[in-house]
Amino acid sequence: MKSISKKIILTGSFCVGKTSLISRFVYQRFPFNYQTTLGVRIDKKLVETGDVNVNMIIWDIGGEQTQARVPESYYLGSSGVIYVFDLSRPSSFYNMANDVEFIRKKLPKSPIIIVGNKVDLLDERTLEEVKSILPIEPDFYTSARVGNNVEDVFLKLAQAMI
Amino acid sequence: MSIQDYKKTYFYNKAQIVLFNENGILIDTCNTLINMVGDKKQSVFDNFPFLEGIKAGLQKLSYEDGDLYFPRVEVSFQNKDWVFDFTFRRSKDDLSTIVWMIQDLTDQYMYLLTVQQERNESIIKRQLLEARHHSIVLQKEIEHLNKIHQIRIDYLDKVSHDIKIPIREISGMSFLLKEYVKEEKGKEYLENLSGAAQNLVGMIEQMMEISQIHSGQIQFRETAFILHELINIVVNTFKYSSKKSDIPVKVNIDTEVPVYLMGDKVRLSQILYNLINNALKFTLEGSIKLNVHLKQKKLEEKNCTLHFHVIDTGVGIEQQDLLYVFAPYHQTKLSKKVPNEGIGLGLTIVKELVELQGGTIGVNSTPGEGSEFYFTMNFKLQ
Repeated sequence: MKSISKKIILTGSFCVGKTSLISRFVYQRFPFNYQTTLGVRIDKKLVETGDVNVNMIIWDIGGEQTQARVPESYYLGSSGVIYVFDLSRPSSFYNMANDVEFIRKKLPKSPIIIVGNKVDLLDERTLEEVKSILPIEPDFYTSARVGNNVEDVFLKLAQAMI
Repeated sequence: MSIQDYKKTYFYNKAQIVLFNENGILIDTCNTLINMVGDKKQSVFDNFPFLEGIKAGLQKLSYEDGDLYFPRVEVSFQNKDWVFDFTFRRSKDDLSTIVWMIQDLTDQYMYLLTVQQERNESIIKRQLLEARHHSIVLQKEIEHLNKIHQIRIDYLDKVSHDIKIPIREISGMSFLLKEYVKEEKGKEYLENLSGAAQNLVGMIEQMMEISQIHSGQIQFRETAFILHELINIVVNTFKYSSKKSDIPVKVNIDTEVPVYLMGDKVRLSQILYNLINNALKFTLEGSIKLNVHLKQKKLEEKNCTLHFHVIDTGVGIEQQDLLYVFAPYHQTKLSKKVPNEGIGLGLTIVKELVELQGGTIGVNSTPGEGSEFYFTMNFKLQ
């Protein structure tokens, strides 16, 4: 079976759960203590898409209030992007449209998956209210704590990159 | 040891220089921080996931590009958490060589990490406090608005009650007066007077109803009923009332639709009455159809969902009006042939009653051909 390596980045505002999503995906565990990511951490995981095995090199980028503050070198060689926001914290998605536009300009050929995380913190009614004010509809609603849709996010990105 | 030696030693221990070629083959390293001797003749790209991710970018790096700088790279290595700054540069002396400078800034960044973490936590706490404060302010505003709303409802209730009594008297008197008026023209005037008084009572009742719905005072009562009987009663109302029309109302209930149901039969009658009444108002020729289908039936949970359609061959609704057809006090531009009755609350009440019972409602229409109003409603099975 063919194998390829792809660098992906997880980005978004701070404390939205990027590191937790990676932890859930790579190590199947959820870190209950919040520890901020200062710059960038790198992890790897093999994703099987059927025809091709994608060796994902996952760059977990420290959260910034806008993407313009992320060091430009971090985008170098990225084949895909996961943009994460916190469904329970509106300030993490108010700037989403500008951020996504900024990333598209930086990486015009790379697919971007938009993820609304911490869905487990919202009841059904609140979730519907939040959905109605989101600037962009996310591709996935995830919970790193419970594990909802986490595998699907990375699988969809892997499929979009091959 | 001289101060110069201390300085040299300090900086020597904080940085490592690695040289490798475009294929990642290690050329030389001072091994100050990371032992890479064993990696000689192996590609550094394969051994360091960080480098693997930027391999293509490094291969394209030219001397003119200057430094390629990666600040704050967090690495777990030799059972220790490090924070490095990485700088890459194409060698000036040998263009096939890439210079990788690793600077250990763990101590400085760990301090920064604490500051950053406190800053992030404090921002989140502040946002939570702001949200709580905002919520309290909103709650107070809601309470204030509810009080005003209740005063308005009470006032409307009293006024409408006071108005309804004399209007009913007018209606009753005009009915009695018919016995004493012999001339046709006089009878016609009295008929109009009675009709206008009844319309006025209907409007006031609708205003009261919408106020009750919006203030959450409306309640639904679940009782057992026979669907076919309920529909017959609603349809017959139009045959024998003062709103008698020559337009026939044809009913078609699918055979699989359960007959014995549990639900709020009064509200269902009201919804059907309003929709048929609306259809009759806008239909000058042709017919009205009321179709009922079974959408879903769950025997285990003893419930079902029915789909109701009220279809007319009336004047239809223009596209721009379709969006507002359920909005309160909205009235579409009517044909000159259609009498402009009501205050535009009938369909609003229908929508509210359907949605408050967990149903959905919609409309399709073609101007000049007619309209179809449809809604779903859930019922328990008897």
